[in-house]
Amino acid sequence: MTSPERRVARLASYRGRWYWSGAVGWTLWFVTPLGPGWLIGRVFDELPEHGASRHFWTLLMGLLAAHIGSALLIFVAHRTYVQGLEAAKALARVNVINAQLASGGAESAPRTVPVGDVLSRLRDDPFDVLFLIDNWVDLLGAALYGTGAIILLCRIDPLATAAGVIPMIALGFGNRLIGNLARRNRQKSRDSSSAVGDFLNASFEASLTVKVGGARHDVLRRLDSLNTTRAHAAVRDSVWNDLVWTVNSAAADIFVGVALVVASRRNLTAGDVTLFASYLIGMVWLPMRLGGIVVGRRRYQVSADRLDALVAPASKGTDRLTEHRVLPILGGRPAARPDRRARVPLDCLGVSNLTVASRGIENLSFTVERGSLTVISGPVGSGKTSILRALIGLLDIDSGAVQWNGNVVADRAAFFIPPQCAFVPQVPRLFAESLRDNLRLGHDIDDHELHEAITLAAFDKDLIDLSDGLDTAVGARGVRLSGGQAQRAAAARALSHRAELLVLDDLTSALDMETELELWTRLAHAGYTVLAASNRPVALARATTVIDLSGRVGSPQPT
Amino acid sequence: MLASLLRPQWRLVAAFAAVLSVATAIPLGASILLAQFVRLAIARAAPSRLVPVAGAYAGLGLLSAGLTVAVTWRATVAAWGITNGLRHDLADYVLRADLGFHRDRTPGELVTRVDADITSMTQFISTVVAQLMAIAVLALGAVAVALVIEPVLAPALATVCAVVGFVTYRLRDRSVAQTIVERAAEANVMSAAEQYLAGADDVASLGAGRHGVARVGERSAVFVAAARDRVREQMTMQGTVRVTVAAAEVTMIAYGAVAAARGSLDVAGIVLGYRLVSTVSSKVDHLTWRMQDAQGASGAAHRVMELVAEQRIVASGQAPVPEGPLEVRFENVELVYDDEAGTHAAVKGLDLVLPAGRILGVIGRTGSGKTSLARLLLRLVAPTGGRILLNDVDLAEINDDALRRRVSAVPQDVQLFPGSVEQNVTLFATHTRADVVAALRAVGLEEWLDSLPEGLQTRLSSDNRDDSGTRVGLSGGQAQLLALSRALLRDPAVVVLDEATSRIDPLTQDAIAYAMRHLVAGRTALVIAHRLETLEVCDDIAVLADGTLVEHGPRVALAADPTSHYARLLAAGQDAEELA
Repeated sequence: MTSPERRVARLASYRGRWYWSGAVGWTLWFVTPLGPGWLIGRVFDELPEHGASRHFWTLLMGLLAAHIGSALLIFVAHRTYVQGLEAAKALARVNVINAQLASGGAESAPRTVPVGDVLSRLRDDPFDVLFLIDNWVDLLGAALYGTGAIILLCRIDPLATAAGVIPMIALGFGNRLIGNLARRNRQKSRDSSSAVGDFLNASFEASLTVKVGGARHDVLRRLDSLNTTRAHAAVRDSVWNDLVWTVNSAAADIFVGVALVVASRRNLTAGDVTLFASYLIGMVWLPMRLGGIVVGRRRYQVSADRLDALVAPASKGTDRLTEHRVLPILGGRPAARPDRRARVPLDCLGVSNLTVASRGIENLSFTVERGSLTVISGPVGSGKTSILRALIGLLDIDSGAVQWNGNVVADRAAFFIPPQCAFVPQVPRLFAESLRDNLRLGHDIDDHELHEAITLAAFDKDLIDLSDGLDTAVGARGVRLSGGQAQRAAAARALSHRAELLVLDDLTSALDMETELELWTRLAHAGYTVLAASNRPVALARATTVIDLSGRVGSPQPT
Repeated sequence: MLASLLRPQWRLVAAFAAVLSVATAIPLGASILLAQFVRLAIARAAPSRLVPVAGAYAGLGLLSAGLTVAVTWRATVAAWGITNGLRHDLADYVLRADLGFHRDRTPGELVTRVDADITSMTQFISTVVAQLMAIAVLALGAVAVALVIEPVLAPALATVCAVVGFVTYRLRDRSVAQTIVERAAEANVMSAAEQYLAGADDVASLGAGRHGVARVGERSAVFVAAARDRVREQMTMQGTVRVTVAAAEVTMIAYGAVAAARGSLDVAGIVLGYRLVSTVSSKVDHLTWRMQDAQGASGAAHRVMELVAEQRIVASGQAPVPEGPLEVRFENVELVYDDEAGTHAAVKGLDLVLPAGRILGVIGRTGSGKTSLARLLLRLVAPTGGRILLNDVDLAEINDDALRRRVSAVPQDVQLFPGSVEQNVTLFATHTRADVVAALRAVGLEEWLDSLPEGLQTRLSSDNRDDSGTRVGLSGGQAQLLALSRALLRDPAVVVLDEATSRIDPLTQDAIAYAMRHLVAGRTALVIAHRLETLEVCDDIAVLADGTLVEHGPRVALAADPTSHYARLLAAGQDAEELA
């Protein structure tokens, strides 16, 4: 297990030149107040009762210059730092997306967290992970400032310096004790925030259902209750942080008082008093930052756990959350297009003793011959969809095996993708991009191949009606297309790969009868090997094999 | 926008500002004590005289800290209260907005606006507003202290405070435009992430993960560039304020030195002048960091306003829906869609009556206008010509809540909510358990219910992603049955079924007929289905083609007339089955 710091440093090093130079700039910036503080002291010392000395005006101009320098430093440092920080956040986000979208393989992670919750984690958690480095930068800056301040103050009065500094460091260690509470508060605040995000996402997705179901007020009441819970958690979290900060800065004032009283046994100048006050108050950051590391580590742990649950587990030498990949960020070149995968021609697909207990599938065996149409039929809830999803690796199986030409497929999710297999889900999703991009999904498919697939999927007539043809923007989730059009477009998307095996889940549920007939006829003529879940007479009539799941649990029984 | 949000809360904000002013003004007292300490120390006063001064200095610090925490706490509570109200209103708006609004935006983008944007406003309200007022009070206090203790300092102090205030004020909106761009860019990242994550089955099964990654990556790149631009503006503001503040402090010292040379001020007086100005200016400097929140909040408010300003809500009136069974009458209804794809007429001069309590089946090819007909009746779109009457009351005049209570629908795509089975059936309304169970029984989901580990309290996952066993998913057909039970429980007078049973297997045609009969019994119903078997519960059939009614009559009569479209379709359906 690598230390949190090493993991975060790796993430931060993604655009390290920006990030680390920014971090160094920040560290220096924390030290810069030493200069003006010292200059102020000197300025006051150069002020005898009757008029300023020669040095006074020089020192005063030096003071102004020091402030301007400090402002310039932070201008540059913050800008580069934010670029590096945002790039690192983007990398963590993209790594999560990559794991969630991967087709099997070492990079893929289970898709068990609801989308709304994933989004909420993507939004907030990368920052809290990276914030660990901020804590170290702050601590280092505060420590350097503290060291400088102690050296300069000791030149005035070592005893008074000790009287002010020692309790301050003790306070820092006291801060460590409260880390646990901080973590619990943060976790609650984040989880309740996820619940709000998840619910909002579901509600907006279901806005039509909510509206026509007359459920708007009820849904809003539910939102209010989730909001209230979140508000409580968030208030607790932020007040706790404020409290820690305030207690520390109030304590610093007390320590200043103590140090000044101790120092007063000597002959103090106005400059000395000012220096003590400004340096000791400036050092309040030190105990805060000592405690900050503890709080920061806990914040890190909460957020890193939430993100790690979305990526593949780390294995030797790889950390899926922080691994670098090429992104078009600040001069990065986009990844080269992947090569087409080698095709393994299908002779025979075998499923033996497939069991998915949670879906009521037990010891199911069947074979699909090349060129055949195998239809799985059965009542609602009998597991048609689950069998298809389990077969192609979208659903974990408890036992059983899938064989391709007699060889057991170990990683089904990685194998059952084009050109081996293409899948059309029951409710296919289209994305807010052009129709062409929706069909290609980044694969190397030319317009000629697309048009062939479109004709095969009986989408050609619809395409004529679309104003911009393949360039038509289909809108969020493809809503510019009707239900049937979206389903035919998804079929064309799958067919464009000329895959060895087509897996169709209730493909024609949104098609009218004429279109459906047309589609099955075209598929048959094209000589596809098809495995379909359907109860439609047209499909069953054409099937070479029918797997009938009737009589399984979960089917509705009319009374 | 922000101002109008805060206006109803002005007493609260004023109270916070008042207490916070006291808390912030305390350091002024500390400054006086420090000057006093300098005077005593230079005069080599006895420790017995120094300790009370130092003690008072420390005590004031504690008092100030306590007050600040208390005020921030109450302000945070109030800010969440205000913004939760705003979240409610905005979610309400989104849920009422029309189809086009939802077509143009992904749920991910909307969540970012309704939640993330508003959260940044929360931070603004809970910190910046009260602090801003407190600083103004503090500056006045500093001048007042100077007037009382060292009047010679007062004019200079007032001048530099005014200059600092003016510069800060002028720069306050410096990065708002960039913040708006940045937030939009972030929403774009989230909306891309959301759509590919929601379609993960499609993407992963087609081996297209790289495509999703590339799209999110491209948008992330735009976002990083936007963040850089925002920081540049912000740091320009920050740096300018910092230099101004430094100049103010230096000016006060120089002024003090000149005054001292004339003999009108001692060293302790100069220290006092410096401390007074630095007390105010350090707060201003601290606030400029908080101004990031403020500018984020302005940007967020702007984006929220933008959303609401679209006014994408189908007009409604205040008329009640008549009691009892409802007749639906379409009178010369026309619907022309006019969007970037051009104009096209979906419904052309349609006259159609659904008598109360009768069930009308609507058939036609994709694009024939059947879905538009359903949308018109549900007031998801307003007719561009003609009118629709419910028992002689114009649909456009009817109160929205009343309409939704009496006219309900079951759409084809069923959306589940994160929550229990019960919440998913009631859609968070209050119903007795017996009613919920009865509704599930009526649609034939009783056995499924019995098979659930925790019955009605079993958690459903909103997007079928969780296979861990703690939450259960639903098959497409089961989800559609559940949607029928939702409508049944709401007990509307008019119900629209738009391909509502398309994923329920026709093999158990009895099950559909059973569920549908329960749902449509005693109601006026409009059933759209491409499956002719599904339409067997209907009393009448309407055939649409190209936005016009080409046939309408009792189902049995049409079936018996071999020249009717319906009869021909029936025959074609049978042929299709015989083709095997």
